[in-house]
Amino acid sequence: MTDKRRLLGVTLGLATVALSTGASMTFYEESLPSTMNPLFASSMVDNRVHELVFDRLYFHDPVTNELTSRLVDSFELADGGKAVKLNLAKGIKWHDGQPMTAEDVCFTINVMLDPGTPSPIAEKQRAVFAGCDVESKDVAVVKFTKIFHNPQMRLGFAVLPKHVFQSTAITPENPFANQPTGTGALKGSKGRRGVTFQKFKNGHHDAKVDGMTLQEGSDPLLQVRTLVNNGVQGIVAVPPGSRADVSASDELTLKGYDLRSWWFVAVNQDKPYLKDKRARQGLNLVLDRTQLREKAIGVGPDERNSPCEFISGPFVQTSPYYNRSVETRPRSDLDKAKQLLADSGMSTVGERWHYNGEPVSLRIGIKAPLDNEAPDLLSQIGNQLGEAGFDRQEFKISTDEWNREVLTGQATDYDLIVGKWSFGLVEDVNPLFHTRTDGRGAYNIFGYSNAQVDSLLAQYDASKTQTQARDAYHSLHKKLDDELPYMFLWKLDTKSAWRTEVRSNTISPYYYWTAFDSWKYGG
Amino acid sequence: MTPLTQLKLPMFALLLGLSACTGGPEPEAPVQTPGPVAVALPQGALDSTWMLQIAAEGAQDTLMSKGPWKAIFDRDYTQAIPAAEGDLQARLHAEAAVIYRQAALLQAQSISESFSPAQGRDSDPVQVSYYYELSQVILGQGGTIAALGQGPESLVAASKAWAEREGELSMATLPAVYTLPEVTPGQVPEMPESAVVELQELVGESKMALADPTATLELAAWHEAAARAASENGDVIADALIAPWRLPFESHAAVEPAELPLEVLFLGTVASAADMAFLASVGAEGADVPEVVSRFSERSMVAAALAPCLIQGVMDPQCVIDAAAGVPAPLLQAMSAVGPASVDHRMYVKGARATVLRGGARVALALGDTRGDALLRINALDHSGDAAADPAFLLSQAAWDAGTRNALRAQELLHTQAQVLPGMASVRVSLDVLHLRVSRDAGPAMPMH
Repeated sequence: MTDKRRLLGVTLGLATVALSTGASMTFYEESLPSTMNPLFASSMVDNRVHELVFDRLYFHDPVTNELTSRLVDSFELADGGKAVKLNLAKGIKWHDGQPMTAEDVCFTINVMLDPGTPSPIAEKQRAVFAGCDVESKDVAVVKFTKIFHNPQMRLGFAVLPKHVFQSTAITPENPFANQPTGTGALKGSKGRRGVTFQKFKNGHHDAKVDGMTLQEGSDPLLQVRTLVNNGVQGIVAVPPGSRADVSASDELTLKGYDLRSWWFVAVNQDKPYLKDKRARQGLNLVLDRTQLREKAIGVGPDERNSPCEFISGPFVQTSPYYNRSVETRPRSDLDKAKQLLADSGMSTVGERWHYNGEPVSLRIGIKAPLDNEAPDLLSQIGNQLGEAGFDRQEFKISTDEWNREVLTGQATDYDLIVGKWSFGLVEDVNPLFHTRTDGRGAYNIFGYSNAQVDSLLAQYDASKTQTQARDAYHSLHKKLDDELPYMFLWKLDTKSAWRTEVRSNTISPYYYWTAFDSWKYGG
Repeated sequence: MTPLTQLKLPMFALLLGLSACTGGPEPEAPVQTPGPVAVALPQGALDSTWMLQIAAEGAQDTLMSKGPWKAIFDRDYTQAIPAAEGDLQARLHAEAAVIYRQAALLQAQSISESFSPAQGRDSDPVQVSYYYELSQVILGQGGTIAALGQGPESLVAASKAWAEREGELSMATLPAVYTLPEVTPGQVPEMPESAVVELQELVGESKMALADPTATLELAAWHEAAARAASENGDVIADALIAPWRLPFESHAAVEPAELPLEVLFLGTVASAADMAFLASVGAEGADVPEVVSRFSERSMVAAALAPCLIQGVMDPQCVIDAAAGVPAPLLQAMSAVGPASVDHRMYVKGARATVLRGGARVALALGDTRGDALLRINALDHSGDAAADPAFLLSQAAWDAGTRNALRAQELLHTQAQVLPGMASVRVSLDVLHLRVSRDAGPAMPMH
């Protein structure tokens, strides 16, 4: 046998072994995670990655939807229902070998209660938790600010290791954000080009896949070709335009992923020419969403049960918070748009819109990974605005810039930003529209501020019954349709693709990897 | 390896001018047959499927020369029922009766999970007691309905009618509360508007909307009666099609396969009368499940596919998943043996995979394996799109989800069925209540980009 043949034989042999033992998988994500610290998760990629590395105290079983825990053996109500006593499971270790104890549970709550932890989700949790007492190594008593129905449902946070931190004030810059220590099924490490995961056998986890590598996906066509060629084993989010290719392959399976995502164009009302709401209403009527959807998503105007459905407010149509009395605007109305733009103080010179004698030039940005999901959406929006008489410049915003500038309200150079928000069971939109103050409005992109909107958001927060909360959000939906801090586009469903060698791969709603222990590769 | 090519539109779609509903980004794709699993299907089981019958030369042209097949493909019963005749009309009314049954089940599960003693709230309107007790009746959990002393007129009348009802409950003895037209085959009655009422909460000024499942049950009974009256074979057709989908309070007896004409089966996700009888018999009272599987395995494609997965009285979910993936290939092969090949055939066999998974779920549940049932249902959902989207299954899954408090997926599923028949908007009213209840109980969460 020549050296070359021997090498080939060895390679094939290794490949066979890899397949039969499961070994490691590689998959494409929409982007790299921005942090491995669950306190600072801001994207769905972050959320999904954290689900592999950490354990949430309680979670819903993705098969039966039963509320359950891997960390808690039993619980009992205490203090008349204002506290729960948690008896922790034994034999659980952190990824560095240290035992997980009640100290860690209480530390995590204390971190969230510490105002020195600048985490938006911790800010929210401060209204839920009052404190936590360590009764013994395996017993923690979690105290709530009031009596809650089904209190375990409030315990869906990821537990952090006390021993790796110096204090309860944790910042996003802490090295933990790249090299986390969790108790999850996999130990994770974030590099510059991807995230690597290694199986960590534990008292409560025994993954059947030895390791995984997360890579950032780029061109959707390339992603699917790589998947077909077994260069990777899965794609978390397959754009609608590529789903036919996945379905056409006998070696791939298209799988549903329950996630509520909707798309928008945020409007910078601090720009003088966009301050008057009639200007925003005019722009809203310039957009021909039917055409945008057809060109960017590939969905025809009359398609039934389309994966992409128009919305008129900050909720998907299936949500009880969606106000059905507010109609969507599938088509443009250029005559009405012209009238509104003129009423707002703009005027046309030639065929171009001007404000205070200067041409209105719109800087439009899109979060770069969305360009994979809806190819060409940015230029299609630009084209429609251009045809309506606006000069424009188009930009792709990197995930880093998104996190650094857009989420923090500092991307004020832009006039319009195209983005997507995703939700699970909870559809709290207060962080998007509340005035940025005292920790509220954490994701208010352009610093939108309206007293009536703030009042409705406060009503939602203060509502004593679910119907009051619904009514507050129905009113909000109607108000936002008039105010238009966002031009609402559509909801777009999410599908994953996995090679058929990947088995027992139940995808959990929202969190995706909750049932990873059951996933198998080959074998 | 299959190249990344897009297939031509199916002949069926071209014949019916279906480009609008099958067009867009996802043309019909070859059936997925992952893994090396070879499934042996007895010829008797294959012969009884509508796929083999339609594959015979000329059969499709003959069948499609009459009948509202585009509306049937679109699951648009409002259009299809008036345009159909005879046995086909009986089939469509029977399917509507099934859909409203599952819709009532969804309402009952939503109400039960919202207003049970453990989940009720002090602020809930006083009238929710009626809804809760009625949900228990529908779910076969007992339930004692007391007449409401006050409230919207329709609700007081409904509660009084239920409270006065004596004898064993069945679809034939439902109290008639809401005004529906006289049963006339070919008509599609609306959901009575008075079924939805707004009830004052005990805290604050807000009103909670709720829909009375009685109206949904009455529509189910109406369509069942219409199915029986639509043709000479109406009773046979109604019994066969409804049997697998009866509600918990109804009698669940084992059934034998009926003789059903091709037009009653064509484009359905259940391939044969034997499959229907098998699915009904697995869940029958006192069924010896392994015996049922064995007895049907020569006649029913679903039973034949499942039989090897029933090992020592336990259904192996992974085996079912593999078997389901392996079913379309022999079915396609058998189709090509009885007539000319057609691109349509790939679309036709698509539903078989989901039906085997659903059958496996039923068997698992009948054997007491609730997790296996759940796992197979979820897998069935992944294969229940496009031509395989069966409203009865999707609504039954939504009901199951509501029963496990997974309101989010239930709402997505119901939304996809909003247009199949009138009144689905009122069905979502109770589900909205459940969703709000569950989401308000959950811990805080931030929007994610």
